Amino acid sequence: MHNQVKLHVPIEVTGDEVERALFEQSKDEPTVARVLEQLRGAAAESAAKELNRALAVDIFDVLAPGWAQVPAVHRAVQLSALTRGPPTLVNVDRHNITSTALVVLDTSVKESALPPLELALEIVADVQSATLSARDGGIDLVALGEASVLARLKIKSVLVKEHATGISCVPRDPFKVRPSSPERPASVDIPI
Amino acid sequence: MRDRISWLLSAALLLGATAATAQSLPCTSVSPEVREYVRKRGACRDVKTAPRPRASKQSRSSVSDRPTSAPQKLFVPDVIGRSYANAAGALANFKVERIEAASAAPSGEVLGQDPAPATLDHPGSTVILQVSDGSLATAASMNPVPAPVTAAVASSTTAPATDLASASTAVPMLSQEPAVPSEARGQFPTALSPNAALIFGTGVLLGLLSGALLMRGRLLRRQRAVGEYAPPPTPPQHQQPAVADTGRVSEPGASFQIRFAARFVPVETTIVLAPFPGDDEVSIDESSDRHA
Repeated sequence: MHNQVKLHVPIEVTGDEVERALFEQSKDEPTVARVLEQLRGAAAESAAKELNRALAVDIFDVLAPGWAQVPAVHRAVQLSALTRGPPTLVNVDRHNITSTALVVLDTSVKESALPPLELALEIVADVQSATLSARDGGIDLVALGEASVLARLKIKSVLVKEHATGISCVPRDPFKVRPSSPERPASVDIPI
Repeated sequence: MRDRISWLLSAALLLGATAATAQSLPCTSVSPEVREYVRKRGACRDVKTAPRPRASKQSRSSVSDRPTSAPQKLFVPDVIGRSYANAAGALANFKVERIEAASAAPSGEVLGQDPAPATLDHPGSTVILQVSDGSLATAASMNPVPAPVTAAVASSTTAPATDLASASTAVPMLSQEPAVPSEARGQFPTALSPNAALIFGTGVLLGLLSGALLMRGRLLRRQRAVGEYAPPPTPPQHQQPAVADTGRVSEPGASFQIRFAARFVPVETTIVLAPFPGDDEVSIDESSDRHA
């Protein structure tokens, strides 16, 4: 269900951008500076491949915690968790969701671990409208209006990658009875 | 000046010949001045003016029996290396006896002589010449025997004695004459002896072997250095990265002992509801559609 929400162009980094990030890290980490030459080229490409796997997160999982903070959504989710019934639909007009996360790259050279490379990922989603449904203590995206995403990948204050793309979502029937499955798209922990 | 030199030379010749022959020579062939000088030395005897030694009848008769001029000894010329015909011509005053010997020298070349060159001998005495029959010349041309380094010395000693100085040098006897081609005498050997070739070949082989070992060591060091920094030529494509915790472990760098694992760690998510122009609040439509 949730995999029907996707970025038009996924966030990906290249080997050169990884090398730049490692270079910035080596300024403060002598251990990294000693093996920086070994981390260039093909090694940086491998690191970029690993980072891209970590960056391939579900955009709905990134945005759902933000939607859950909307009071109306919050109440609907609470209620759906208490009472079993049809989902409650909530329409949220234009809003911005800012999500920050860390993309951590652990590196070991000759069985010796290097200080992890921590990249700050900032995703700013500009959503014109979103229709959400609350059911069984969780939320689901029913329909999404025009939306765009601007992603920035930084190490410290240095910008490594900036990526802008759109979000597409296939509308779905919120009232369609879904088989109960453990793979709920977004469960929101709501204190009762 | 020139006369003085010739005078001294003649005197020296006479004195030397006297000392060599140990008897007085007639002075008829020399100039009066030289004759006078030599006479004072007692080496020259004038037939007319020289006082005859007193002697008894017996001795006088014995003296009268002796020839007035004893047969002169001649220097045996050096004919080694010459052809037999040439040598026979040079030894016209002697009786020549020829002995054939198997040698690589050209046929008819004199290999040795007895008595040795520059020896004083009476005319008519026998000089034995060892002459090459040339039977080994073909074998020598196919497998040339390198001339030893001493060939130069031998050549100088076997050169024809044209003067007294060279005649005074010793000449090897028949058995001592090296059986080498005449053209090889006095020349530096151009071909290597079998031992020298063996040593040379061994040296080349040792050089090649040491060079190969040196190059192998350098290649191993270079390969080791490249293996530490270069990626593998064909990274395994079929291997899937191993999942570790929330991150993943990269295997392609395992051959050069570099592993990567990336993970995504959410930190914070905030939402800002943007007011529409002219509105004070964000419009949130809460659906009340509840279906039974």
